Amino acid sequence: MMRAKLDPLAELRSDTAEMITRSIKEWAEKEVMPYRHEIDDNFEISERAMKKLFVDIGMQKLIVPESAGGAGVSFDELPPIVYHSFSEIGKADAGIGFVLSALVASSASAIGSEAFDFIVDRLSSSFCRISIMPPQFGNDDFRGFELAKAVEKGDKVRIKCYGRPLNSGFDADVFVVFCNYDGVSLALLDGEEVERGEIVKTAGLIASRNCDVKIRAEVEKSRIIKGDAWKRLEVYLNLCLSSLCVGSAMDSCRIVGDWAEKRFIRGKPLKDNTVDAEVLGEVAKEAIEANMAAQFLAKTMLEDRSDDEIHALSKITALKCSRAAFNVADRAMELMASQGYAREGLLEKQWRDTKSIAALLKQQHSLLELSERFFASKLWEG
Amino acid sequence: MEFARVREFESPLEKYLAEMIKDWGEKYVLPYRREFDEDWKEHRYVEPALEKLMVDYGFQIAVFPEEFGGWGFGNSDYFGSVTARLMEEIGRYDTGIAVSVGVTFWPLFMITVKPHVNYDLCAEFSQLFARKKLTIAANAMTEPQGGSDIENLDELKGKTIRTTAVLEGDEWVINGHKLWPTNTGGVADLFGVVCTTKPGEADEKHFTYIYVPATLPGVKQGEPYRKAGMAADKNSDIWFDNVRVPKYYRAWGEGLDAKYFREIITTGCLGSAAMALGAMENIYEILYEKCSELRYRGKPLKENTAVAAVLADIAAEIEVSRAAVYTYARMLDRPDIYGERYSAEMVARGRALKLKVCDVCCDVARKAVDLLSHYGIDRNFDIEKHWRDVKMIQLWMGGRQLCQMDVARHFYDCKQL
Repeated sequence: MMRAKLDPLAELRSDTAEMITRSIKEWAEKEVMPYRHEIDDNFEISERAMKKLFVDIGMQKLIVPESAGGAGVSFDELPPIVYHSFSEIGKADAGIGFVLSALVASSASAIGSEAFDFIVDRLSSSFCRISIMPPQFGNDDFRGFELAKAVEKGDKVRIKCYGRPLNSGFDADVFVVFCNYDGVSLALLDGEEVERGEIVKTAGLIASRNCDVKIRAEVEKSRIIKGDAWKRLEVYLNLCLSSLCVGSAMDSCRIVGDWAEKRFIRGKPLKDNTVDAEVLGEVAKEAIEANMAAQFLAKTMLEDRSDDEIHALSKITALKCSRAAFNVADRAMELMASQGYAREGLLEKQWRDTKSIAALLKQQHSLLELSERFFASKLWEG
Repeated sequence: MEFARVREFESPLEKYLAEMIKDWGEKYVLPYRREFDEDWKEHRYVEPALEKLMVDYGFQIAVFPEEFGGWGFGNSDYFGSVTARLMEEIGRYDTGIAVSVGVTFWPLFMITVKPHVNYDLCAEFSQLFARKKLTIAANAMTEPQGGSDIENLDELKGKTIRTTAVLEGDEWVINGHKLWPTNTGGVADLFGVVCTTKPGEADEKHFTYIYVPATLPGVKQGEPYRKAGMAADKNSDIWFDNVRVPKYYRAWGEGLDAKYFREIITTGCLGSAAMALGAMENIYEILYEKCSELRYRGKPLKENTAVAAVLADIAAEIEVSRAAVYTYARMLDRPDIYGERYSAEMVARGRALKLKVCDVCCDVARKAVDLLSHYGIDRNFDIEKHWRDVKMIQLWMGGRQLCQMDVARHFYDCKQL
């Protein structure tokens, strides 16, 4: 077991966060942990657990105003709550956390816009999943990627695109589409406006059933969020995923820690052999570093910083935390060998899930964006 | 695109082997490969592919000397090169099938490879493998309490082995419990079992390698384990409960079993590295295609310098790995120049090869998944399958740590590891 814990920064402590974290712990113990071995084979388990988390505990209504039955969490309170709750969810099932990440990030991006009512209506009525449709591989009209085409048609906007959402394309009730309307904007679509393909089989994050989608829809202008909303979406998505990865890393540490105590080699527990202890040390370092980074991001989001600065920091944090969580699981697996690779050991699920998150964060492309910010690289000009 | 290979060292058989495996892989593996993960328990797709290769293409008997109907590659001057090529080419299609084939040959290497050909046992077991019926072998080494300690011969000398072999008259009586061997879970017809004649004793003369047909009373195989990948390779528990086999089923005898067992390590390391190499080559092929199709910044993905740099790193890793694999393979071909395959030096070189090539392979697969982002984790793109599968190659045979210790022992003359 990992003996040392990293207490959260003072700025991140709050009664609301603690209360939500307690609820999530209970949810994990009751709805996820007893079924964790079979959760990737039986989507009904994930579905049931998600409904409990999203609706009964109310995670889908964090930012919904109290008047509409939500928690009415403000921007001042949201980052600590996201950090605490997602790092707890990550210990149980990163896939479920991934689906929730898209919902929280999308709804945060809509705060203060005309589209907020649309989101609140969907989040208040029943169990809801939101899918993010990011720019796709294709032409170079947005930082190397292709945005959905948005063309004004009277008082509506016609949205057209084809490709693969980030998450939950098969199940989502709402789609948030990056489109080229007055710069980069977000278009909010009802799930019924989206044509969906077959479920894509993926390495991990099985709770997020995805598919290719085809969108040809006309939406009211009030459902377009302009300006820097897309950056806010990415910032919150990065915070959610970073915190999720922290939880996953902690869980992998717990699993390998238990193993290293019980497994004996040359008459000593594995952890007391230097070659294995060195790996354990690295694993602990990675997990704690990721935790520090996620906390720092959450804290920084409470400060008066520019959108661009926070956006870049969130990207760095998500890259750091996703890689760290994968490395922790990967190196822990090396110590546990076959037992780490076996489904029954549960480590391999964290390994697959965190690798999937790392891949979805588009590692190389993210580095180019950071180069643009910190070195003024002119990558997308001309 | 052909990666590095010293052509003048290519064996006469290799070209034909590669052509046969390509023919087989395109027809019987690729059309079904994406079904393998769900097929982990039943092997409805895996077994016919394996049967085609082993029975119809005739690979099953290949390792036996010619006089027993085999191809005699254990008796050739190209034993290492052929083994490597076989594993590389099958690994391109599926490393799970590669290990299943490799592990069928593995226990048989103890008795079919010169200079230690056991003609009595070849006569006995060649009949089994000459049948027109899929026949599979397994190497039962790992035990619950000691993991891969059994392979750690130089240090532990068989001290931790708990599976016992007791000689009663003309029969060995075997008792014990093994974990995780490839080709178990009901697959294997013949086991090569690592036992001890004196539990707790650190003396190689007590190390015993005995063949056990799977149908004998007292042999019980468990249900296959579910794993992250490597679905074509079934693994389970095996119990030996007062299993009786003839005395001559022991591979060689006191001291010699342990000595030749080290070849299990050298060939296992070579095979592991070669199949990892095959997986990397297939990853390269997929990346070549997908990075030409997908567009980023208005150009094919591969035409962007940041992407091209990663692709170059991957190609460089494969280039160097292939050179390393065949260098070692050629060293195993020529014990007259490089020393016996079971020597401490060749074991250490094999461990070094496996350590490095498996690390490289995991890294290549990881980078490939990252490059293709959401297509990288898509099972229809096949890269994530390799990523999951090749991790297992890195983990087996004692994983990185045992490789590191064997390498350090040899190259730094460590005495107390």
